Amino acid sequence: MVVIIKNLTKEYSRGGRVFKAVDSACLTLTPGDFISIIGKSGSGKSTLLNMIAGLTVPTSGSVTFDDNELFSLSDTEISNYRNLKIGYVPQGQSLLSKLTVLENVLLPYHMAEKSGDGAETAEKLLEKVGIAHLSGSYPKHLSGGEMKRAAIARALINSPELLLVDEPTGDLDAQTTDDVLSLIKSAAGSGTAVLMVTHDTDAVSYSNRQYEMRSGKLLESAK
Amino acid sequence: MERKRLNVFRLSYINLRGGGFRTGVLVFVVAMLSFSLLVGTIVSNSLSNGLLTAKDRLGADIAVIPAGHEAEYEGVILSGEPIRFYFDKSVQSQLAGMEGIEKAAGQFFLTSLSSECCSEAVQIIGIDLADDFVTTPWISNVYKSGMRDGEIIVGSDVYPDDDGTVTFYNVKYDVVAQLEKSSTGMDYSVFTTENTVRDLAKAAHEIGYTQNADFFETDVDNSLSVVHLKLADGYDTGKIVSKIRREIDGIDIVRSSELFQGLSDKLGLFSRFIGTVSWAIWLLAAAVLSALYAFGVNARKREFAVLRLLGATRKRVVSVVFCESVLVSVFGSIIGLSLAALTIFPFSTYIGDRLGLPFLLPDSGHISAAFIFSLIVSLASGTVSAVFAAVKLAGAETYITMREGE
Ligand SMILES: Nc1ncnc2c1ncn2[C@@H]1O[C@H](COP(=O)(O)OP(=O)(O)OP(=O)(O)O)[C@@H](O)[C@H]1O
Ligand SMILES: [Mg+2]
Repeated sequence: MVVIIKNLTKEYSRGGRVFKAVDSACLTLTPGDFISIIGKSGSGKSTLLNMIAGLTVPTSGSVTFDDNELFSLSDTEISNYRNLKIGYVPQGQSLLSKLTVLENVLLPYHMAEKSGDGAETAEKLLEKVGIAHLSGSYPKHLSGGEMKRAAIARALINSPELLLVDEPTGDLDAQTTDDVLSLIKSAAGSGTAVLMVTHDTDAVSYSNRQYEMRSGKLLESAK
Repeated sequence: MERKRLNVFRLSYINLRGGGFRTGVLVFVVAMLSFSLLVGTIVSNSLSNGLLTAKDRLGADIAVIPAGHEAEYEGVILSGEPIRFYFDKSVQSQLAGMEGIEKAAGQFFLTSLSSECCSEAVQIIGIDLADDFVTTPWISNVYKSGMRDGEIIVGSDVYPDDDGTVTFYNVKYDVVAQLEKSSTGMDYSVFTTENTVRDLAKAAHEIGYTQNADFFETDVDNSLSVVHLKLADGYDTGKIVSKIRREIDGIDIVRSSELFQGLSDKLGLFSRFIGTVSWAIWLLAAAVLSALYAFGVNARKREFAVLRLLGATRKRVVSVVFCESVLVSVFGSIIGLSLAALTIFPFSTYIGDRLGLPFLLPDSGHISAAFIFSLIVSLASGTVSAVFAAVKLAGAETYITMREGE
């Protein structure tokens, strides 16, 4: 698997003025990579991840996934790509409130028309992220850290080749932050490429390549 | 344990189950819509059916009656108000002899009393079997062998005594048949032969039919109450009516077209009213449903954005909303249509009485059509507004929806 991001640019206009939320970003991801991107709020980190996930259409530039140019795919193809090849842990709370934790984790599995009910895989993942005892609970009864773990388990259910993580540690205490980051690192260790964006400088140390985002520009930082 | 797959149907079901109040309001609006559509359709069908049947039952182009009794005659025909009036029997032969008149059939009216001598107060109509063309076709529907002297046939809303007889002026008669419902005065009348009704009139004389002093001046054997005319083909009703008026004194003429004109007008007005109300309810319901779905879909932007992010196609997101709206609409329609059926069928007589118009439920084919029509309109209104809202949302860029939902 290889993901090549070339001159990716996204323009938005605010108050009649056009500005580049992401400006000519270039990046290549291969299996086992754990790349972190640090940047201030508003520097364009989430916008970049959303383009890589095919959720936001770039103004210019390209994202190719194993020779497939993402934005020339049909909605069905790009949705399948997102479902099967990508695990996305979005910023903030993203569990569906009417589903239990287990059902939330199973959601991408059942979208894929895969055989079997996936419950065993899901329960194993919940155990791995340390919230097996909460599988039957509803999100409103979970803490922020527990929800983040559930979202990570959900992102991993279809064994993705690329894991996109947006601000995983925003509102977590030191111990939980460490647990969550270790989890992500272990995903990278098992061959999945990980791209994590954060503004937490401590989180960066878990990754093996670091970038910095500044006003839409993506710069590799020397270690 | 085999777990149910989280397919579109199950997701929709879970969303509705957790939707609480929102789901309740949607179901209520669809139920109200299908209820009013079905009630409106069946009531207006029943009214036009009632009028048609009433026209059919009358069957004569022209009725000749004693002068001054026009209103009373309409009362007998339309609502079965018991009444009697007489003129000389010779009118019938005079009419029968006129050019352009194919048939002239007489009837003799008598009323019974609600006192001890009689089973109930009804209109008793004696039919001239030889010439009759008005009532005989309806009688032969229910009594094949044909009515004989001494036999009584009752209208659909006249109830014989327990032993299957009726008693008028202390004379007991066998009830041999009951007519089908017509939603006219016939339903409250009883029918027998001219001979029998004349015997009854004499019996009434004998026991002193006191509150009707003028009745004793009637020469029972030489009187008639009405002569129904059937015109020969090619003759103009208007010309014959003028001719009858010129040649015969002491009579009034009621033309069936005029008799039903007032009723037709009233019914037309009422049907338009029902139509307008139904349209208004539909518009209101469609507006409320559109607003509720647009609102609901908007409030759930984040939820749909998450589905997209996990790999749901646009089609799948729209399907979830569509499926929810189908479930809501089917459930709401079942409730609304059942309530409508429970209102209309047991109370159709009561509704007809309250409306004061001939009201006759249509046949099962028309009723099924009304059901299907109401169901389709309710389902379509519910689902189209939902899909409209969902498609609009799914067209937006996913990340934008995710942000706005935050
Ligand atoms: N749909 C949009 N329309 C207009 N401006 C947008 C839109 N989406 C993002 N932006 C702007 O683009 C810039 C980058 O936004 P983005 O969400 O990528 O920042 P971020 O680095 O993820 O910030 P944070 O750390 O706070 O999450 C911001 O200035 C934001 O206001
Ligand atoms: Mg962000």
